[in-house]
Amino acid sequence: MPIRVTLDRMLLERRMSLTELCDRVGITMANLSILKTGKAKAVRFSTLEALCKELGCQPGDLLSFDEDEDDDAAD
Amino acid sequence: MKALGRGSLASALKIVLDVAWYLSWAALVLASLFLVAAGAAFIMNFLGYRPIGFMSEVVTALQEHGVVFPLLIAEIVALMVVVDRLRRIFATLVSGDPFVPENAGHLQVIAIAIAAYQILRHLTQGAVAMLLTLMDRPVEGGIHLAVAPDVNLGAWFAVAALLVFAEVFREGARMRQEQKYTI
Repeated sequence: MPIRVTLDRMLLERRMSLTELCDRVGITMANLSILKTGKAKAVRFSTLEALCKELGCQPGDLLSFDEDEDDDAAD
Repeated sequence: MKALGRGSLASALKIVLDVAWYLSWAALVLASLFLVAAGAAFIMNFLGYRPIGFMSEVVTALQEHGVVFPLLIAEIVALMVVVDRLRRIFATLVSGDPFVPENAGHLQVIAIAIAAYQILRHLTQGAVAMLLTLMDRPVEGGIHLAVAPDVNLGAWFAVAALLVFAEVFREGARMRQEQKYTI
């Protein structure tokens, strides 16, 4: 999918572990892993809101668009 | 009685399909044995061996109807494909999760198998008619052979409907997958 979630970069910049984020935002580890590994098909506004609140960023900071990425690569 | 899950109507139908599956295996083995016997009868006839008494009647019957067995076996195999795929679909119904991408493929295979079964049925009828004609049996037995439009419209409608349902299942599975990966 050409849309990528840059959660791993955001976590690295803030020296935060996935477990820590999981505890703070109340999203299960399994769902955060799906987001982090790029398997997610869609993100709810409520999820984006919780992530942005905890990471202190904008929704655009969590997403990137890579035109060259294969559309079915993550499927 | 609930429709899906354990102890449901789906699980009762799954048991029926399991029984049908084992019965069709038995029918396949039986038809295969008859085919082998028919082959042996042809070889005996070719070698000039003529059995006497009851065996003579059996060998003659096998020689006369031997052509039908390969088609009968093909029909049983087509039927087994349908039953097997239905069993797999019903297994997902019993587990309460029918919208899996594999079920779309199963429905497509069932549609193709029903179509193949219909074609094989016509071929079998044709082979029997040809056999009777070649052996001059219609005259002896008073059987009248005539070309009749014996097309099972219900079966062909089921084929078309199953192909459509397969696509509905595929779309349902895609939507479910999308929902599963919506965070």
